[in-house]
Amino acid sequence: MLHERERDSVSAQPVKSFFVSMLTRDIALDEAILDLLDNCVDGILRTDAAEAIRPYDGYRAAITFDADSFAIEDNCGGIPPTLLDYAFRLGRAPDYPEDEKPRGAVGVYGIGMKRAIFKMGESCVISTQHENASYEVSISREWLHDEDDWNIPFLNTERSKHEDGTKIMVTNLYDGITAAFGNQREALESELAEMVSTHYSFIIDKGFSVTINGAPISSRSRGFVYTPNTASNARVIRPFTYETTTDDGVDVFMAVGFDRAIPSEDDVSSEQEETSRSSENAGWTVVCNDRAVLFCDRSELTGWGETGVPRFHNQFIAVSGMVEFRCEDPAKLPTTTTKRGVDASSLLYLQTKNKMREGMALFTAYTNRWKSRPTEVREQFASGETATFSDLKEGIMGVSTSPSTIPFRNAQQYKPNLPAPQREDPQTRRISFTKNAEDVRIVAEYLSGDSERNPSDVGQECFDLVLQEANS
Amino acid sequence: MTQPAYRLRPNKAVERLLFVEAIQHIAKLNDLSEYTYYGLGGAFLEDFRIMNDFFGELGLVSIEGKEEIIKRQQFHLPCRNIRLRQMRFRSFLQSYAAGGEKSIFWLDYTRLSWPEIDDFMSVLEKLELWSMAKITVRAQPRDFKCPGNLRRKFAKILPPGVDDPPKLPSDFAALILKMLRIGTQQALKNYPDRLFQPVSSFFYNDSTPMLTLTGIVCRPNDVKIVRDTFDNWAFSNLAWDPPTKVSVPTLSTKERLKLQSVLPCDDSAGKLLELALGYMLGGGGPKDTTKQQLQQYAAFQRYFPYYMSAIP
Repeated sequence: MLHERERDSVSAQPVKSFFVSMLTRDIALDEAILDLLDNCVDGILRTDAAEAIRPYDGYRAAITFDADSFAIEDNCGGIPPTLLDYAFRLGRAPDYPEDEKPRGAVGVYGIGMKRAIFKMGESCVISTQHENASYEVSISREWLHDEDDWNIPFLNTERSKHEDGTKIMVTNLYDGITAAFGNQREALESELAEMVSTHYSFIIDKGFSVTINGAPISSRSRGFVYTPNTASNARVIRPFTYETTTDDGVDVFMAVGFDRAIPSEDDVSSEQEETSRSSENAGWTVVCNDRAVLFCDRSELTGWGETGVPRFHNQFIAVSGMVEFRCEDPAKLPTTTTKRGVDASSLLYLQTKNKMREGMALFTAYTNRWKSRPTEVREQFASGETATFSDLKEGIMGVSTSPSTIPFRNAQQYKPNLPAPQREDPQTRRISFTKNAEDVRIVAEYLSGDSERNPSDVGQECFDLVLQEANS
Repeated sequence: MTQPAYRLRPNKAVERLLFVEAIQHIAKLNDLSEYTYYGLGGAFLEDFRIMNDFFGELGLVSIEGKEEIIKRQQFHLPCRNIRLRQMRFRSFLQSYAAGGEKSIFWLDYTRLSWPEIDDFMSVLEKLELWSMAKITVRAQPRDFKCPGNLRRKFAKILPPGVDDPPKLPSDFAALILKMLRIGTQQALKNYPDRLFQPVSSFFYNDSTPMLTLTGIVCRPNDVKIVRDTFDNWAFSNLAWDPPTKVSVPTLSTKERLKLQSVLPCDDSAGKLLELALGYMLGGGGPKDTTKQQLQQYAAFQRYFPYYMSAIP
């Protein structure tokens, strides 16, 4: 045994159990599963398909789980043998081969796959097939608890699939995970489906296919109402758009507008009551390299409640914004390490947020001006059509943009001229009142047999009836 | 929306007695005197009347928000031991604490919107182990005919791949049951020691399609006990299968007495009863469903109410 006085160094070797428990602590199960899906997409970006218009066409990932195991299987090209010494390390080594870095990925740190596996269970088999190579890597419970062994068993296998791809199978699940995949399986399926359909909507729209326990997941694309065939400066409903490429090569495109007609004051109270809190499309979505890292945010993180913009309230339920950052080098994107959040301290993001607020303020102001005039609002939205974010990028509105130099040089923006109310006719007076919802339904049914009629119309008809009686 | 006369809904009357049978099954596991029944009794307190008739040992609490209906309930009180609480159900839930007491809740709604589901999920979170909860909701797909409306209102509990409702009310009822399954799992997500085990689910249509779900909050390890207890009950639904249809035909008392003499009979009851009757109920023709209707009658005849004129 080495005598204390004879030592000239101490151990700084990492502790395996620390990595396993620490890495998995700050990530939720559903986010960990999305990390694995990110790896599938990164696999596609390493293939020739990355250059195509619809790069994800024909590629798919199948997620399956039950109380005993979890698996994700894809046909996304497999893990190249040149990455063998990197893919399974905890963290990305500095000599990671540059030409194997997928262009347009979102992962930077090289921990997603390992973190997801360790989150779920103690044993795992990763089988992959890439061109002429086919191999299997196994992580066992024994390896996980052996502090000295940092090598993972590797086995060359026969090529058995007709498409290159990877399958990750996790077993020996932790108790909490067994419950989530077993007793609470349907709830997790629903939650995951919602996350995939929102966070991967761009990628699914470009051809990627995802199934969860056999059920195909569709995208939740967001729409922006615009009035076609009108002059750029016409007073009509259109989104605000902004586009630039920053000095260090990040493409930014942003749009904010209405995804539907703004709600009347009556609608606001019933929406508040009748809609599940998570289901609204209102707020900001932030997309980095095709992946939504933030979905429908309504907090200060996206400018709500900051200078010039009110705090989010249900009356702004129709205000919808999306901002996209795109760069071959993912390190320049404003994402957090979990890739499911925005790095609020990123200068790029903070400067972009100034424009997000500027655009958003137009639509919150419009809402405040028109919320008590549902009839006029209906008319303004009547000739509107819905454009997707991609449509707006391709210039579907056909409007003239103008240069903008702050915060980014060489930017182009379109600032809509939204309708503004005329001053009230001095011969008219506005009447507005609130009544019990059940009573409104009773009166609506009494007047027209339709208990679900718009409360404003019910009020209007009541007044007209009494006026008729008073005049007779 | 106009409600059909509450006590003249034969399918609902049948379903209500099936709920009584479900409670009789739980009585095999626990002493009913440890339970309190909470319901939204409506003006006539019909469910409370039945609970009192069958289970005199149950504590009974009715929750109602409207003062005038409370007055009407006081008029219709079928027994003295019903506590009438005047408050909205949501307010009641905020103050409700099981405190070790087992409960039977029936959230008997006439609509389907998020607050109804939210109430049910909130109830589950608060229930003591071995408590029973039942929800009744409207299952009319036309209510969500605008594309995206269903998703917008229920995104949190929709199964993967579903955006809009199916066209048939019976299919929509099956979808709502799946949504409720997700809702129950979400409600108990933070309670790994408990889950909601369904015991029955029915679909009926007395001019409005309705779905019901009844289940028990228990420990994962006690699921087998619940399943074993309800397994022999002909109307149990222990695996979240599509709801059992209750659709009893309109029959005269004379017809019922005739059919009664043939019952009980085996699985081909519909055919046998049709032969016994000697005529078709729907006037004949290719769309006549006499066999199916009589099959339903055979299944539910013990719960089928008799309607007769009476002098009050």
